[in-house]
Amino acid sequence: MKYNILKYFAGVLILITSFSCSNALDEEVYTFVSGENLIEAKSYNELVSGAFNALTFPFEWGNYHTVVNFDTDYQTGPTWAFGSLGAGNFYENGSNISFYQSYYQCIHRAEYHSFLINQMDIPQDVKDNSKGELAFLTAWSYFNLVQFYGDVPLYKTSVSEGAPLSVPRSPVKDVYAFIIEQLKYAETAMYSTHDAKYVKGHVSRGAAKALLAKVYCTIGSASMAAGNKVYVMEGVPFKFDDDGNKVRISYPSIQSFEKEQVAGYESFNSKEYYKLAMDKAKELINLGDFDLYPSQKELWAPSSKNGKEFIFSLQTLAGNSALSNFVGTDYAGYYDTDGTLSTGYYVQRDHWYQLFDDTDERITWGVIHRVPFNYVKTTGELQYCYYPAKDSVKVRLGIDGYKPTDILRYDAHLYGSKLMKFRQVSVPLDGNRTDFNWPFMRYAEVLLLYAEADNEVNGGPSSEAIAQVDKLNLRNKSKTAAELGTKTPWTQETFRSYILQERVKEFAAEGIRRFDLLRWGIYLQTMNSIGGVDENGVIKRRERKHLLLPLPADEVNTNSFIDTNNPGW
Amino acid sequence: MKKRKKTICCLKHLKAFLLPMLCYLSVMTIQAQSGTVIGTIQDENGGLFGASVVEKGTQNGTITDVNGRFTIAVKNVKNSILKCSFVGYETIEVPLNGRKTIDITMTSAVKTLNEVVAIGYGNVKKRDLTGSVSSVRSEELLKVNPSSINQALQGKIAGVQVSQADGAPGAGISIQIRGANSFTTSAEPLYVIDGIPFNTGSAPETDYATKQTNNPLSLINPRDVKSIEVLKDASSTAIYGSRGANGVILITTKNGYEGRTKVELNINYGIAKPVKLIKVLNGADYAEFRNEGIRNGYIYDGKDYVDEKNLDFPGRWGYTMGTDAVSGKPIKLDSTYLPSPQDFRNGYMNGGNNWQDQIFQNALTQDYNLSISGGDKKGQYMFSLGMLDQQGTIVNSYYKRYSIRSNISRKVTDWIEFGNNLTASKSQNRLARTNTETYGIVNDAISFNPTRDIFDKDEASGVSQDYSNGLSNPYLYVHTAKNILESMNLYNSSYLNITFAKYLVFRQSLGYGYSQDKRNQYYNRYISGGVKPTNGYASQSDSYYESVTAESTLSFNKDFGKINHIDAVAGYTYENVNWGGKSMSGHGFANDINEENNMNAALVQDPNYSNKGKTSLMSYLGRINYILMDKYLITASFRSDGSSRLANNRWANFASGALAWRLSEEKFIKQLGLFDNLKLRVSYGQTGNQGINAYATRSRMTIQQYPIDGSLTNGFAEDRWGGPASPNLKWETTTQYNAGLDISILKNRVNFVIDAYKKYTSDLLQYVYIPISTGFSSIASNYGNVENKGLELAGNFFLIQNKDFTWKMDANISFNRNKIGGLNSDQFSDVCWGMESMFLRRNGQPIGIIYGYQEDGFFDNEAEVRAYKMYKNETDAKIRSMIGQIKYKDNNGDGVIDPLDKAIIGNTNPDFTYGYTNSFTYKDISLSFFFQGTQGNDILNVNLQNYDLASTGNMPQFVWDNRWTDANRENAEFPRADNTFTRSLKASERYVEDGAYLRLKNLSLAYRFLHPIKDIEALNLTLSANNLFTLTKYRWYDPDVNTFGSDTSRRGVDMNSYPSARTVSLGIQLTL
Repeated sequence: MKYNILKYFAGVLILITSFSCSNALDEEVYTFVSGENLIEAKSYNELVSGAFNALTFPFEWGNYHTVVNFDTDYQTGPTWAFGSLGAGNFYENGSNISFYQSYYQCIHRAEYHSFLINQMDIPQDVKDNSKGELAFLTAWSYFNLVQFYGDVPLYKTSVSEGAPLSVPRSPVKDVYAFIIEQLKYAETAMYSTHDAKYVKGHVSRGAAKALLAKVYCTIGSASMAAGNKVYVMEGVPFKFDDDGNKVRISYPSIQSFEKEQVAGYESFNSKEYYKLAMDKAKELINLGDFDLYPSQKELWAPSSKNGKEFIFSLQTLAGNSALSNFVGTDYAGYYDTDGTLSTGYYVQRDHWYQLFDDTDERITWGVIHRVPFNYVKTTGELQYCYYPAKDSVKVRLGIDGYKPTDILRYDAHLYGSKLMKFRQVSVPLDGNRTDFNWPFMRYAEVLLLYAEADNEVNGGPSSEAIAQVDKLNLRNKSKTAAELGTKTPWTQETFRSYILQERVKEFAAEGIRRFDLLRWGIYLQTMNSIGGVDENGVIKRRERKHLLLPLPADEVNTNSFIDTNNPGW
Repeated sequence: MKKRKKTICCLKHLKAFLLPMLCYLSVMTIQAQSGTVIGTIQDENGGLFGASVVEKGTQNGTITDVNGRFTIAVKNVKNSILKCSFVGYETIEVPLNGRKTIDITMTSAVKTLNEVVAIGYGNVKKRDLTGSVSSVRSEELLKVNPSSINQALQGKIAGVQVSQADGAPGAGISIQIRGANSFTTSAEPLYVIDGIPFNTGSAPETDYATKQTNNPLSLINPRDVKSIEVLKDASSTAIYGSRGANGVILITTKNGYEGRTKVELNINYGIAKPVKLIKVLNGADYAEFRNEGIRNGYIYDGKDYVDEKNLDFPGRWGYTMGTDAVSGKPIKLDSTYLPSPQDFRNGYMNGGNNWQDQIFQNALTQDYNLSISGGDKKGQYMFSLGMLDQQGTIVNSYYKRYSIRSNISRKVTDWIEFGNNLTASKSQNRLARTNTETYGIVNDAISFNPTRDIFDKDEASGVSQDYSNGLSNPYLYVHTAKNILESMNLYNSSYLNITFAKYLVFRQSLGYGYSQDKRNQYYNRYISGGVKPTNGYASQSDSYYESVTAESTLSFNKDFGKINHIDAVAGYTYENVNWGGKSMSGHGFANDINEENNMNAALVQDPNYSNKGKTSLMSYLGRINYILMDKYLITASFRSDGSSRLANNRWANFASGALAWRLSEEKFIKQLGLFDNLKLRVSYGQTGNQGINAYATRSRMTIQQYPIDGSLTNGFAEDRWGGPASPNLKWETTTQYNAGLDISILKNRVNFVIDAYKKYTSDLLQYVYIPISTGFSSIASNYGNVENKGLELAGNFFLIQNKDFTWKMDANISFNRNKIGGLNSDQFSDVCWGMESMFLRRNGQPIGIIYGYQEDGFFDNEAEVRAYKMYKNETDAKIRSMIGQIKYKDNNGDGVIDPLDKAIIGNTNPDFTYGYTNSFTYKDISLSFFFQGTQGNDILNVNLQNYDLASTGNMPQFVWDNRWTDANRENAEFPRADNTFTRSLKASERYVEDGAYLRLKNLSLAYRFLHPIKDIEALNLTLSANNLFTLTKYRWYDPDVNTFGSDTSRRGVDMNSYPSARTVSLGIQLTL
């Protein structure tokens, strides 16, 4: 009996102790925090950085430049690289998906983070600046999306604030209204580059103004009535002679295109937006927040990163695999241990090179003319090839850095322009990731946007427009617009075309050309004037479906408001 | 006295080679008493050797000899009772009643169906089972010399599908019970070892491209396992509630038995070879291929004409020219012979190198196990030591394991008993790079240029290199690539039993598990992964997983009157799991000397990573079994689970019920005189799935750094892969119906178990795709459903049961059909680069459907190309280049081959799987063979992607022999040789192969020597062979392959698999 009492007592004791821990299911976290934690901690800087971090995603595996550069008239390379996006095969292309996805990640973060910062107890100017930066990021992202995809789902608040998981596509017009609204807020909310509180590498009020000018110009050109003329230097790159040999046609010729009105922009008044663009660009020029570097060499010096001409760039960090990229290597190559130049597969086409005056720094300094492509083991010497072919006399004479032993090679990645600008990195290119800050917007563009808008507003370029463009020409040691205009007076059409050409010369491979061709409504005419394939066999033939990128299939399949993809996809 | 002397004598011998065990043995004391009884113990076939005879109430006991005879001195011949026990037999007690000689007959437990099987939170006699439970004994498992217990289950149990990831030592094994319930969460069953759920964290991964998994259960030494029970229907698994949906595997480890100390030494030596090698081109054919590529370049691809002496393999001397510094005349700097295909046929370089010879080897396995067990009335003990050293068939890969187990139990008083089961093990696994998207060593060995020597003194690496296609020299790779996974595991379960009354027992268990995995890697500057510009890549990572489980149960077991029996259990459990890990990596090493040991030496340091988490689970459970008149059996169970992983729906209830009717106890059946046992079982119940990630209900703001003007700043943002918060998540629920029939006829010689089931899983926990425009790509949610229906048949047949000869046969077969429903749109899974969206999930289709392009032969001529819509307007050159290329079906007719043209091209689900064992014994010889196989399943053979005749790599002979040539248009299976480097084959039917196979999994022959020398009771010698032959149409190494392991959405993929081994081994078992 005594045992029994003990027994039951023991049993009851165990039962009580085991049932008593009732809060044991609380979830403890260690490796992440909640939005509320960040409001409390006033982590506004961290929330801004976290949002801009999403810009790095398409650069991790080289997806960004393939979308913005490959599908253009003046870029080429080996067919293995240009076989998908470069050949117009956009459907379910990984880079296309990455482009769409990462900009929506930017938008989500910018909006949600702005919502969090808004709840913080911090000084008003600090709060405004942070929210302004995020508004800029939202606008930038939508601006990219709307140009490539047309109508897109428009989130004005994020799903983390409670927005639904599916929203319908909004018309282009509504997307632009939101972009402009965001930028108008951002241009007043952010610090200026002169402000003591401004930190280099961040976006500033000037960035918002520049982007606003670009948005207005884009609307202006896209909504401009069909039939307006644009001239482009283009044409077939080769022909076959009587013996069936492929013969290169070295020079492009002037092609006259009648622009189309871009779908979705019909309701805008082109003139009105060009006026807005002109004023906004002028406002920024007058503010003096930014300036040009005196030469291409100084512009692309590593020390100039985030400098006075760079309005908005991707921020990178050498040695950090997530925050650096292969852009430099892909475009400019790197010198292997045996001295040969490796990779550097993506080049500007020869026809692009022919657009320049001989003195233009963008080719004299900006293009790599000699490439050591082979190391001869037995002699221990490097073999060089030279570019372009028309420099053969200089080669023979061994001047301008050439040597008589240099030979000509027509390999897809050797006969074309490798651009020096991609060596704006702080560590030597060695085949690993480097810190190339992709320049999203440069001050040079503001000058050209001003000139473009002025030309459209005034029915021809004003002297002010010519003066602004010539700032750039003087820097680049190119013929001035004033000089050109004295020979053959500028017309609205010739100046419009001149500016468009200046843009592709100045911003070669900076992800601007495709947008330009699309917004001017001359994408199809331009691409198809190449005549099917370029000199390297890259397919440049395009159809109407190529005017918009296909939405990722996941968006179409999962969005309850979207039944079909863009036309033709 | 005699007995005692013998023990001491025996100890002397032991000392010689088992000195450390001495202390355990010396515990034994045998009391000599007056009054000697002589007797025999036998079964229907004769004397039983090794049966234990104990005088009841004492520690006095003995073991029968080879003829079943025993001698025991007892206290009192009149009153003493002898308790006789033997594994697999019913324990009986025999009162002596004054007899001094006695013959005792024991009956086999198997035949009486009184065998006890473990079920969740209790045991039940097999005859009283109401649910669907299959049981496998240790002897059965050990026949295949398994290095892990889950591996040993393959083909043994109906409804249990075991697939290995590949043949690598220590590789992951995935088990599916009754089909896949789920596609994004795990479909692995719950493992319960000695009553405590067994979980380990996942080991740190090699890298993104590698799918190699390890097998955490291999840390449990299979030789320590007594039995494995597989709980299949909901009535048996519902007691495990939220974790029971995928079935439950109960593992019971060995314990000691009352009686004298048993010492067992097992030694196993094995030698293994790959099951097969893939025949690749020899030097001559390879040279021919390269030359043909160049010729085709001219014929079809518009390349310049190359004359015969300038082909890649021309058969002439080649020179490097230079200029003489003095005379300025050209001189020969260097000369090399450039062989022709014919030269190789004539024996140049012995016909070429087969690089598979450089990576495969005859691998040795050594396995040593020592166990000591025993016990008395007050308790038992079992202690074991094990060491396994298994070489892989790929050079330099191996798996080593060291394990210790100690199981003890002790009665403190007649109402308090405690016990403790402890396992500690450590393993080291050196992995060859297999099961990977990139740099797979096996594919490397197939592809590497056969016309190259192994060594090349001109190369800095010392071996020949082939820079044309980025492959590593396979010899160098296997000898230097370093990837070692070290695991430590501690697993302890303790219990305290308080017997309040004979019918009421309280049990408190406490389980503790800790596992740690450490992975070290180094790839030097001459091999893939480390070549310039990387210059050596190193990484170190580790992870830990710690779990604490407390369980309190109260069981009740009582007869009421003569016809009612109630067996019930109620309990409370709490489980708490902590895990974490970290990793560092870097590259850019000055040299390869220190490998990854000094991470400071890396010029480029990658970011460090760490993680940590915690979950807890609290449950209330109960079950009641009611047996009426030994005929009608009713079981009902209930479990309520609360989980920290869930937020708004934290608690969920799971219930089940089962009925069984033992028809053979009914008069009308008895009258038939046919059935020894006939039992009908039906059950219904609900269970949940454990596979939901922790923290899925929350918005997770993680560190997302961003550099501002070159200085790194901290950033916070929601993790881009994780998805937004999903606070309303709940458990997915599986409802299962089961009907079963147990039949025994012909004096229990023929036994059948038949089960039919239907499972319906709803509210699937999965990461469902959401519009990308949300900023996320998926959200954890309850969405969709899966239905599994199936039939399982198992039979065992005691065909011949003579004194000297027995023949036993076991067979099982299972059928499962699976169907997805409730999806709003199709879902896809990628396989690898170039095989995106290759697995489809679509309403009405099973999980595991392969989705890809279809082919329509080859373009045989220009007219055929021209007639194809896509090339209608192409140039003549383009048209010509398409001849001999694959013609893909443009299913939607839009003139473009894009993902819209994809169709269903395969199904990786088998129609059925089966296993079949025959065992024969003749006197002391026993022979058994075991067949196992699957039927009707496809395999996605990703390996073939590498062999497209468009690079400079070598290839399997069947690719070359069946290529398209001008002369072989009709029977072409592969496109023509092409050296333009532009070919990119689409993910089409050509990668889908028939995966059915029939395999002689094991053949073993054993001989038992009794008393071979003095003091040794028995010596068993076993010669066994695994994977002796396989009948299959599958063209790669082994159809038993499953790259993605437990990922049910991508089963049956072969991507750079490690070939399975054919093993011959000799086992020596010594019993003292």
